[in-house]
Amino acid sequence: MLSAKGNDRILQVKEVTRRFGGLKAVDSVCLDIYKKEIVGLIGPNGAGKTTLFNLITGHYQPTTGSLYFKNEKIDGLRPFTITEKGIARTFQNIRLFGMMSVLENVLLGMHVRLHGGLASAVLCLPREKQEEQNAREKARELLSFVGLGNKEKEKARNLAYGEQRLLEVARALAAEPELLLLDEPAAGMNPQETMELMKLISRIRDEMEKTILLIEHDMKVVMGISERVAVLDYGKKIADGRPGEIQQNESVIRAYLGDSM
Amino acid sequence: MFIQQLVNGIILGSIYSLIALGYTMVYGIIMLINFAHGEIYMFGAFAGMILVVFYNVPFFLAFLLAMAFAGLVGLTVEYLAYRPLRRSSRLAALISAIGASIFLQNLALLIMGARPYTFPSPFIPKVYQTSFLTISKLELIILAISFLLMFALTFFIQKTKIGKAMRAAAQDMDTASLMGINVNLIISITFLVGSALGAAAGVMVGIYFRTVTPMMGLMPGLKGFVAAVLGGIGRIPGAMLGGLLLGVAEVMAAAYISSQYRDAAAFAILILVLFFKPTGLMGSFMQEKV
Amino acid sequence: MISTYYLQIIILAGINIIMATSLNLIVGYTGQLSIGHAAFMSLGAYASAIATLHLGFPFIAALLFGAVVAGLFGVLVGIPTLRLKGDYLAIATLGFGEIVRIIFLNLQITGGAVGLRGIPKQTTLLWVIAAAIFTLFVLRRILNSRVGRALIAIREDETAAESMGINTMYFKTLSFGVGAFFAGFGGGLFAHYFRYIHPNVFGFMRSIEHLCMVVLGGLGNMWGAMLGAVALTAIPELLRAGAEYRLLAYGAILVLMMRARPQGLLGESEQTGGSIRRKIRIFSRGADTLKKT
Repeated sequence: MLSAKGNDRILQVKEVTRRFGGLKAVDSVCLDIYKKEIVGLIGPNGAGKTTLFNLITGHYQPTTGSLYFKNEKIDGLRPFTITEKGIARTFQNIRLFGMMSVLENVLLGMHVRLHGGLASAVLCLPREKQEEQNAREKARELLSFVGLGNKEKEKARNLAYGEQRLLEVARALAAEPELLLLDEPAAGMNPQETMELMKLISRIRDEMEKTILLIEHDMKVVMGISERVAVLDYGKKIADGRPGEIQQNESVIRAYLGDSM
Repeated sequence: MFIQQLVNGIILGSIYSLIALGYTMVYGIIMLINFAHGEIYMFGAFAGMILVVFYNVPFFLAFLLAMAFAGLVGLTVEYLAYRPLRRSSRLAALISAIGASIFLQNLALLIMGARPYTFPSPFIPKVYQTSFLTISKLELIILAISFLLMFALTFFIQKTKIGKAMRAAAQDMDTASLMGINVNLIISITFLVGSALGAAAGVMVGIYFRTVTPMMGLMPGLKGFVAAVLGGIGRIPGAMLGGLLLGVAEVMAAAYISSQYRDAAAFAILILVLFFKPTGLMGSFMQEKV
Repeated sequence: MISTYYLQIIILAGINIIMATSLNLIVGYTGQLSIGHAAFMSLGAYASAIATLHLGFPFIAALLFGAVVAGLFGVLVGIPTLRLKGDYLAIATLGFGEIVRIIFLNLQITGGAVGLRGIPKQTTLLWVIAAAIFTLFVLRRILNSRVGRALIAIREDETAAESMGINTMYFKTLSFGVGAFFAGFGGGLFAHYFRYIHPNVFGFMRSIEHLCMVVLGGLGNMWGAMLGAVALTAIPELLRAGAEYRLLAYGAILVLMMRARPQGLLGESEQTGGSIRRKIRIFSRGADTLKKT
């Protein structure tokens, strides 16, 4: 994977810096992601992991540097355009549409792949009906794929915590992304659920052929499923390599345990 | 001509500032557009007029009593119409505020009738004239009182213990109450002070135009609110700046464009400013946390 | 037969249903606080009246003309203002409404401060019922479609909505435009019933009244908006016996009703309405952040 050719590269983060006032939340970070990789992004709290996600998805704009998705410049684009181009994400602090049903949440994820507009809705065009029916079918498939097959009618806010995380994943997959960004998908899950999640993430890559970049604090998860791990500390990338290498890396150990070592 | 208009604008603007302060102080703490504020301004004007005209109370004493009375009205409105809704949606509180506003306006109509009352100026009419500026004694007094009150408020908020508690509550009500601040008391004081300032504006407008009516709070109330938003609602210096700016803009529009579009100018300025600064002139904008 | 008095109340209630449900699309479903709905009503009223008086349009064409004019203004106003959040949006829409009113007070074609009179009385009970059903049908269709889902998503969480690939500005403007269209439609019916319109009839208190109907009925609930519209049309009439105490009581009723049911008559209870409440707090996020600096 690491030796993949340039045209296999799906995401290129090039010298990206993001300042908030005097603070460099992300500091000239370079990161390449290749097709069908599972890459873990780790680092102590406040290292800039989520900020990097927000930069990739267009919620923040880089102060300097640029981002390329499939060799196309994406910095400066609005989040909805980036989603349309094929990057979807989940949120660390779950952001489901709580008052809406589980199924509707997934249908919303599908928004960019559907076409129904004002006119077709008002005029009850058969095309709209057909599209809506197909979408529902597909949403149900996605729900059973993540293991929420029997929950479609429930309100999202009434799901258990772990289920809400799974729904976030299903909703992101509904956008048919090529690159999936998962922000701490295992946070708040029990060991059993975490195991299931790891299997799910592998299946998303293997069966759906997605590329995955994930932030995770649970080292068992990161080291267990990632082919490659990148480490951020104080906004800088301090390491990038196979899980085995990262575990041995001295600056990584220092970042996590402090200088007292 | 221009300087004359500018001074006229500042006089009008200082009144708007006083009204805007009441909106902004309340908004800063409980995030509520106190729709009844225009009516409290009107109540203040009536209280002042009644004391002076019917009871021959000396003007400055009547002025202070009117402020105190309006302060109490503000307290009562908060207690009856807003406090029960503090944990509810902000829109519910807004509708309650609108209800309070309608109630107070019609209460005044019921008690005083729809006809306007004359509020004679207590000062001997005297006009100072220079080559480029004409200003009356009354206008000078209005300016002086307005700025004095704004200065006093700034001192109160910045230097006194209660003022500091108010700022703390505005920043984070829950934390403030954990720090031992009596939040209910602070909210009451905010209403008291804000309403008193509104009453001061009401009395001054009353003697300036020599009339007091139950409907007089409607437009100035709206303008005061516009001024508060213009400056960045929740920000005290913003309300002062917004009021002055609005007053000047309005007078200039009336003088140089058309007096018919005077009110439209005020709202046009507002929309224009918000277009470039979505949170008002002195409101800072922070990136939303994702 | 119904007496003219009751007929007038029923017709007014029908028009208010159109106003409240269309405002509900903007405020209750899309989560954008607007206090300028009466301005769109007046645009529709004046445009349709002028179409009838000066251009000789047949009634239905005049109504549609008024609605289209109002809808276009909705889009035009929405584009710059819908970037604003919460109370800032509210005051901008209020300002827009006042500007429209003042312009109409000074234009020749609208009759200026005299108002526009002599509009033929073409609105009948049947027309109002048909128009209200048409409005509800269209709104329901929109809400049950991909477009409606996007609108509700914006209300629930604008950032997450944007992440779903929803062009939030586009959909907010769309919602505003559709809401304004139906407000204009209601305005046309109003003009052709009362035969006389004046800019001050559509002042900001009228906008406030529409908002009260929506909140009183329950945000984001079409039955609620209808109920709110009927209730707030009927209450002042029921209080007519009290003559001068009427508006006093009206104000008190608003306060008491909100104290008793802050979530509105048909709104979900506070316990389960957390998300709607959060959304309303999102309204003020702009202002929230200022206080922290």
